[in-house]
Amino acid sequence: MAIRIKAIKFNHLPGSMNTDALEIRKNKLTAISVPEWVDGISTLAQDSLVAYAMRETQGNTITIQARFESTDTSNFSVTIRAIDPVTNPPEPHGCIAWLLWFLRKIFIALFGNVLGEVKARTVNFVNGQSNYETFELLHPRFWNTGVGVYFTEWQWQHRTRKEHARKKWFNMQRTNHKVYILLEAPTSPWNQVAGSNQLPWTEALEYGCTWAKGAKTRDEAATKITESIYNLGPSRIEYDCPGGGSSHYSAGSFNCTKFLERLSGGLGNGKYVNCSDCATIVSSFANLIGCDLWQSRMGGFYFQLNNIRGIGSSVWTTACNNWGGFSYHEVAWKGNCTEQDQIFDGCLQVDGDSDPMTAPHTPLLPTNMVFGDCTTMNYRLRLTPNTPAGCGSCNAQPSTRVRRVII
Amino acid sequence: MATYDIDSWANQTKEGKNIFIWDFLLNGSEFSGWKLYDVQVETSDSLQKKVEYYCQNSENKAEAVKIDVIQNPSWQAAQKTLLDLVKDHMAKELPPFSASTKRSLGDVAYTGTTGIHHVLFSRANIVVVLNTIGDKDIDVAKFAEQLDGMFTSKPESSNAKFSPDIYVFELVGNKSDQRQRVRFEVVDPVQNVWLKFFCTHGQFLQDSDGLSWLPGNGDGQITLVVTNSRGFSSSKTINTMR
Repeated sequence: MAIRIKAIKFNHLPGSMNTDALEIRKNKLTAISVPEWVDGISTLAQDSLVAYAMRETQGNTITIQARFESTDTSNFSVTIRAIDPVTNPPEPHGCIAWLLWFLRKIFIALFGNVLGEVKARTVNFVNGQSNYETFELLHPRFWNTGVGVYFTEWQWQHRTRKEHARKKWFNMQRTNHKVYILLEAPTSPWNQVAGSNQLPWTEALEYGCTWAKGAKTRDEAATKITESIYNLGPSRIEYDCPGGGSSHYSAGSFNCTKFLERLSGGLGNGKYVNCSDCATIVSSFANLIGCDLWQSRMGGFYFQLNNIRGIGSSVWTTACNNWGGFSYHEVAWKGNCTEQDQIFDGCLQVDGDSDPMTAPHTPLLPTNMVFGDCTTMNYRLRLTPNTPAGCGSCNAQPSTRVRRVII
Repeated sequence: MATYDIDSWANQTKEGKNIFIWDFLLNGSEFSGWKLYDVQVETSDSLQKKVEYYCQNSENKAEAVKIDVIQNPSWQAAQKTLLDLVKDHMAKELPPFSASTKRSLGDVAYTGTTGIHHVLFSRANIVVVLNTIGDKDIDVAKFAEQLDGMFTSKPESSNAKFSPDIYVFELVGNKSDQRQRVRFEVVDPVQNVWLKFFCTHGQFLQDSDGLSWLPGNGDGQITLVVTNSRGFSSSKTINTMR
């Protein structure tokens, strides 16, 4: 008797994310259908993409659903499970078995599937077909690994009651899955509305989860993403000095499609970005993995700058050599986007020493830094000189806060 | 003090007040040696329509240009759009195109702060934004000037075999009305078409019902030029009387 696994559903509870996977799509145009793994179609891990939110699933039993087919067309029952083939070598015999069992526990904790294993259960077959049966995941460990992109391989096995007595399992297929682990459910503009093109895009998760790898808090994740985006300069993007600081990816909406094209080596909308682009990229990728940031502006007409290092530049200048200041500036911002709230600026480095108005300068990328006022050394006094035309003209503009739609 | 003075823009606008561009399109053959490799249409609930064209030099892949063409319901709306766009730059003030190049462009035009890698201009109801997006920065002025020429030129009808047909072109409504509806029906069996309306006085205004003409003083003419995506044109002129 040969049994095959035919399909696996990870996001099997519509509208839920507490015990199953999130709703996701590949990109603006391409949806991901459920079941996420289908026999004969899903050969590589990239063919079976799933995502889980750490916070929403914390402490819960995660379940999947799977369907099977047998060459035996009679009605019967078998027990089915899936193990991690990497951490499950063939069982040894003798006195060394206990030691190997102990070492295996350590090995699983370090290197095992983030989704763990699939707990054995009885599956009934009628005319050689099973229904979709719900399985529990055993020992998933993504709450410990933090944000990231992981690969899970399962060796599916079955045995009859008679084989159970002999402790013997028969291998079925191995299935491979690419797993995106998010901090929390994505926040606006991303959503969890079935069919929406604002569902998390796996093409964006590829970068967001990699940039924030290992993060377990929102601040840690947003900081890692801000640093990663600033470090894209000058190889992939740089500040738009020639164009006068024009928006190339965030005019109206966030053209994530073109930005992803740029990241993967294509032209996209070109190499130039401005502060609105950086604020939008930082907050959109951070929110994708569960942070909660806005894009919001400061200034209003014009304010003077201290020396800064724009993205992609190694030169300390008051913006593009001779600008002297900005007509406005935009950053990723927490909370109500007021001067008491923290900002993440992926567009420029400020001077992090005690006197940001004069050289020498100590590079500091502003992450989770209070915007501040003109009396205490926070972001505002690092960005602008303490003058009426500098700090005095660089006020938080919370009425401008926005989360641009993803296109 | 406003950095950009939209009132002075209106005062300096002459030709563009008498032109209306409808559903402008590029097919890629307009720029010799360049290939159109992507077109993105941005949908909107408003009458504004934005199309982004991506062109690459066929001989040198490092050279590429993105051209955003934004259709607005009037020349005034176009200048308001342009104002919003120039104010959205982080530099305090962009230099006028004429200051950067010693040449004129559109009704109102600006460039980036260094080189001519970024140009914005309005002509009639259209705003165009050009950006170099390739690995090699290039001067985009020639693309801007060619586009402006396409907006303002009034070509004669081409060979009838390949030209679009203008079935209906008339003004509807009382001659004494402040506004007369422009009714038109054009057909090209194979190609997409775009339209240009020229008037000797007055101006055009688009609303949710279509296009209207707001007469100026005296008698005059309104001309419709229809161009298909292969570049063949037809035109028709009607006389207006007050």
